Amino acid sequence: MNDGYDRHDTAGRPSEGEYVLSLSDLFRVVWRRFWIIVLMAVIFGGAAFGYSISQVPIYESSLRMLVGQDSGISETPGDTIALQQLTQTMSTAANSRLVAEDVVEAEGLSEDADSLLGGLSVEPVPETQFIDLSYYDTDPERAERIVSAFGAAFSEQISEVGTEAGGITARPWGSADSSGSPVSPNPVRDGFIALVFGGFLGLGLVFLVEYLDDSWNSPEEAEEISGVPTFGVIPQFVPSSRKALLSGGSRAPPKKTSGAYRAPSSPGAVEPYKAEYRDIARDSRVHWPFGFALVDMEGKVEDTNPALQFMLGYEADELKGESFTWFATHPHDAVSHEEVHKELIDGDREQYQTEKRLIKKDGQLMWARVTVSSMRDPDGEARFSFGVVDDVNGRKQLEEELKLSEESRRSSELRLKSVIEQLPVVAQTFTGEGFPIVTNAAWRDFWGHEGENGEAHNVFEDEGIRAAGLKPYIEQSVFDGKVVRTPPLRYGPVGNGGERWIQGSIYPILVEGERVVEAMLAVEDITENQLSEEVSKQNESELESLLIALEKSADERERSREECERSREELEENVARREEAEENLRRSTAERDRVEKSLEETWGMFHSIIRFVNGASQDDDGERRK
Amino acid sequence: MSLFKSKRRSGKYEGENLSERLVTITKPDGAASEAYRSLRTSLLYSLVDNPARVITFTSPGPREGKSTTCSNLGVTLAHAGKNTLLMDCDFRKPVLHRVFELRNIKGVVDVLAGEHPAEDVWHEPVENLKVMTVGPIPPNPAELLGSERFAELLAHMRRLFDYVLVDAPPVMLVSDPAIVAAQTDGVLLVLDAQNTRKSTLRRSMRSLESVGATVLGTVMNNYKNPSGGYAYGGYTYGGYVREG
Repeated sequence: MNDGYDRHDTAGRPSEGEYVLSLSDLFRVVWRRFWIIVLMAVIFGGAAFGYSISQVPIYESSLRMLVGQDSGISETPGDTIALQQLTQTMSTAANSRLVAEDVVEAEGLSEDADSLLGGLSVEPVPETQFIDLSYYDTDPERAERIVSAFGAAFSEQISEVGTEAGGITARPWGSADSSGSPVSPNPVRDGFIALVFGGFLGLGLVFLVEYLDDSWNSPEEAEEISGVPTFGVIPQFVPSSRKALLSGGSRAPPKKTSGAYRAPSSPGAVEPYKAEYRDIARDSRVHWPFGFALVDMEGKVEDTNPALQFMLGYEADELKGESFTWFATHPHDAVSHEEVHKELIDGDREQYQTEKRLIKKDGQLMWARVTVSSMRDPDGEARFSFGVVDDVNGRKQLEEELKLSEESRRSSELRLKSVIEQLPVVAQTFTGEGFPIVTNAAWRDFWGHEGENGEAHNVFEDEGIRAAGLKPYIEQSVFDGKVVRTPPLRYGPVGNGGERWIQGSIYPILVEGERVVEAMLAVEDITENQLSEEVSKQNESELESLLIALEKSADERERSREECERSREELEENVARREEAEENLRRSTAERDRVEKSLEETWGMFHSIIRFVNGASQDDDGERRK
Repeated sequence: MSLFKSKRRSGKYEGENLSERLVTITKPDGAASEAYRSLRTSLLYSLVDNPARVITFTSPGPREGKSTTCSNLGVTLAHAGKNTLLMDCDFRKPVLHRVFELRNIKGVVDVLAGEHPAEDVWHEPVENLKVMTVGPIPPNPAELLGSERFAELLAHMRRLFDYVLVDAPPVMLVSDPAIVAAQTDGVLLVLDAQNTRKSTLRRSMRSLESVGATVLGTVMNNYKNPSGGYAYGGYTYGGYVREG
């Protein structure tokens, strides 16, 4: 905790250089930030465990080789030592490129010799003639195969060399075996190591934080650092209102305190200053429309101007020395005026304006607006106040009237509201912008709005109104300023009531004959009418079709009658023709008879002639022919 | 823990109602008021042999509670019947008048300039407690505080009052407090337990002691009990004080 400052040491106290840390302090420091240690340990442990678990498992397969000289294990001690030394050489030879290349060739591997050597580890077993070959691979079977191949290749290489070097051999001792479970990763071990590491790091961090920490844990710390006692420890407090201070009375009135240092300057010094105001107020050349009053710090009227005197009907002498807040003032207003004036005197405010009723000398009541400013001398000390009294009777009267008319307007509005509220018709009044003003119960029932003012939507945005198709009519009415009555509109289905037929009427309320400020929408439920109308419409149409059918049949009858007529005429014609034919027949028959007769006669004559001519022989022929 | 907290307050006293900090009046029975009374007790009884009657209040940085501590201690001293004067000698950013809601028209600077006698410029917001505001802010605060007139004024006030508490600017920003402190009986260094840094405290101590000022002790302000429980208000060290 040495910050490089070498202060003069103080007796009986450790200097800053020696930051004495007792065992309990140490424990306290660690304990206070123990969570950092835990956090670090958990983070590191967790990260290591997670990383370890995500790794591909690696399997190990190992093979033990025996280095010997023809006979295998040597019996003479000297030879044994030499062989053991040879074993070292052998192990290096086993881990060589030459052997690896043989293995690649023998096994037909796709990898090169170097990467194969990367997975191999060769270790001579100390003090023996054995060499351990181990191969690591992600596939346990492959590891076993390769280590066996290494053993074989190694043995072969050695036997090639060995025949020249005194028959040295290297033979596999047993077959290659592989571990059942992967040798790495080991998540538990890795995680544990990281956990411990993290814990230590956390411990370091705790001390670092403690060293850097600038906050004060106890007042003793301040003593330790400053080397002086801590006189007091003030807890955090919330600043509270000053109200208690003012009412507590422990604070002397400011007036009194200021009096102590106000005294020396003589009152006379103020006079010329004040006179300036007095001169303005009294200037006879100017007729001020306002009343002026000079008021001293006690609240007494010192001087007034003629306008104020005229206003109140009092003489200047009568006003002088009277209380500015109480004199000629309606008692109801005097108290509030007194209060606000007191604030001015106390210096809490520089200026105020109030309205009060004044009682004139003749007893009449007058409304006045009083504006009072605190006047300071060049030193900035309040010396007196300057009041301006303005007759606001006229305005007050207007205000009264306005209030009355406002009230009557409000009452008529209320009346309208209650009328609409009681109407059995579904009705709502709304502003030109569509915001509802009064909505009656029937309206809420009809549209299914709940509550007193529940869902009083803008009529242009109300779903129901839009769905019913009322919106364009409302817009039209509000736009044109004309009463619009909609045709029957279909709306629904509403709740369980099914489909409804409604007819809306929009009555806009115009101001100055042109601007629509409000409108009323009344909606009639004409479902019943509409239904009966529909029934009668149906009957009518049936009748019509009947009539049409009737007409059609009449036409047909006419046509058949005509046909009949025609056929009758034809018949008559036929009859006439037959008669004619019969006549002709008769005539022709008669003719024929006559012709026949004449023919007969002719023939008779002819015959008689022939007979006459040809004699009797020919009489027979003539008779036959006949 | 504090490692992760950023507690540096920013901004000025602008718009803040400082009179609310006068807890010894607004909340006389609160824990903070009790703490100020304990501070008063330490001051009255710990320095019996060599009583410090003219005390400078300063702190390493701004807004660490100088004026608040000074004012509240002044009020408690006055309540104890000690005739006390509060002098605002922070000629750079005076706030004492705002704590007591006084008009800062005339003050210490006027007295030093010889325009008014001291009796003309003090206010008495609480019985037994006189408060001298700064008055117009001078262009050369350090020179004014190092002047002979200031020493005379302090000597004069020492005769008139039981206790004179001087509110000085922060130690780390200007040299004024060191100048003032050298002329007074001792310094009370106000620390903000949340904001004052330990190294700053050390540097403050060094700069005060280098001018020969006597640092009587520290007042740890704005203290939050780390265990979160009751901040022990009556915790004071009155028993041992180093000599010198």
